[in-house]
Amino acid sequence: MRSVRRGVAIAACCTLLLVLLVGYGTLTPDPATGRFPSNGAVAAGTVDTGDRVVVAGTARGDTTEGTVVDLDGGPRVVVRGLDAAPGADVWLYGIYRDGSIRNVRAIVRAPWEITYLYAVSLLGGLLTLGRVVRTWRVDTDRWQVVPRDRGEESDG
Amino acid sequence: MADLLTHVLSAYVLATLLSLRDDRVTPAMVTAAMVGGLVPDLNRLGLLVPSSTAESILGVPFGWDALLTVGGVAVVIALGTLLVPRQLRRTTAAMLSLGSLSHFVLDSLLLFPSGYTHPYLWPVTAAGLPGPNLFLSSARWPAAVAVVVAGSTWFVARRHGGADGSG
Repeated sequence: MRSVRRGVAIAACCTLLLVLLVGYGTLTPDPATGRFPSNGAVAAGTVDTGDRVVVAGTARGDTTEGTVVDLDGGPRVVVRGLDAAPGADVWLYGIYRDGSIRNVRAIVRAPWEITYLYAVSLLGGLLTLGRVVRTWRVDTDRWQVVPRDRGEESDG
Repeated sequence: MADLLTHVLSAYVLATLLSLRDDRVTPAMVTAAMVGGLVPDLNRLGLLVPSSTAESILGVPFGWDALLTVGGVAVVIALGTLLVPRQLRRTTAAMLSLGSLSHFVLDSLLLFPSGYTHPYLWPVTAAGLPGPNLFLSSARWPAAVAVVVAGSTWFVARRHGGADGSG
C-alpha cells in the first residue's frame, strides 16, 4: 500500500514539474518587473523602437555604425556604444532602435572565460557524482536510493 | 549561475560544518546537500535540448529555466526525497534544501547586465529582483575561495569527527 502511495506521489510530482516547465514557457517579457525581451523577441521581430532588451551573442567586428553581434540562435544586429573584440562573448542590456541596439550596460567576456565556466562546472558535477556513487546505492528490491552502510563507504 | 564547483563546495562546507553538531548529517547526507547545490542548474538541460525544441516536440510553451526557480527546485527536491527510505526523508529534504538555498543565495549576488536577477522566486512572483551585482558567473575567485574553504572544512571535520570530509 505504501509503495502505491509512493508511486502516486512520484507521478504527481512529475506532473507538477511538467506543469511548471510549461507554465514558465508562457511567461512573456515585462520590463516593469525586470524581465526584458531577449534574443527570441529580436529574432521574431516583436520588439519596437525604444524597447529595452537583454541579448546575448558573439561580437564579429566593428563597422562605422557600431559593433556587429551575432545573437545566439538569432539574427545579426549592430550594437552602438559597445567595445568588444571579434569573437568575444557579449551579454548586454540596451535600447532597441530600428534594427540596432544602443548599449547601456554590457558584460564582455573572452571565449576562454566561458570555457572555464563550463569546465569547472563539469568538475563540480563529476565531484558530486563521485560522492553519490560512494555514499549512496540503489536498492533494486524496493526501488529506493539508500545510503551505503558505514562499512561499505570508502573514506578517500 | 555561479560555477557549479563553487555551488557544490559551498553546500559541502555548510553540511560538513552541520555534521560536527548533528549525527544525522552523515557522509551520505553531505552528498545530498551537494546534490541540492546542483539542482537549480538542471536548467542547463536546455543546452542538450533547447526549450524551443521541447516546445516544438510537445506543442506547448516550455521553459527549462523553471528549474532555476524556487517552484521547480521544490518539486525536484520532493521527487528526490521520495526516492529515499521513509525514515531518511526529513533529513534528506533538509540537506537538499540547504544545498539549493545556498545556490540561490550565491546566484542572487551575480552581476546581470539589466541589474535585475533571474526571477528566482517564481511562481511566487515572476519579477526579477534588483541584485547587488557583485560578481560574474565566470569569475575565477569564487571557485578558488570555495576550494580553500572546503579544504579547511575537510581538515577540521577530520580532526573533530564530522562527516568524512572526502568531498
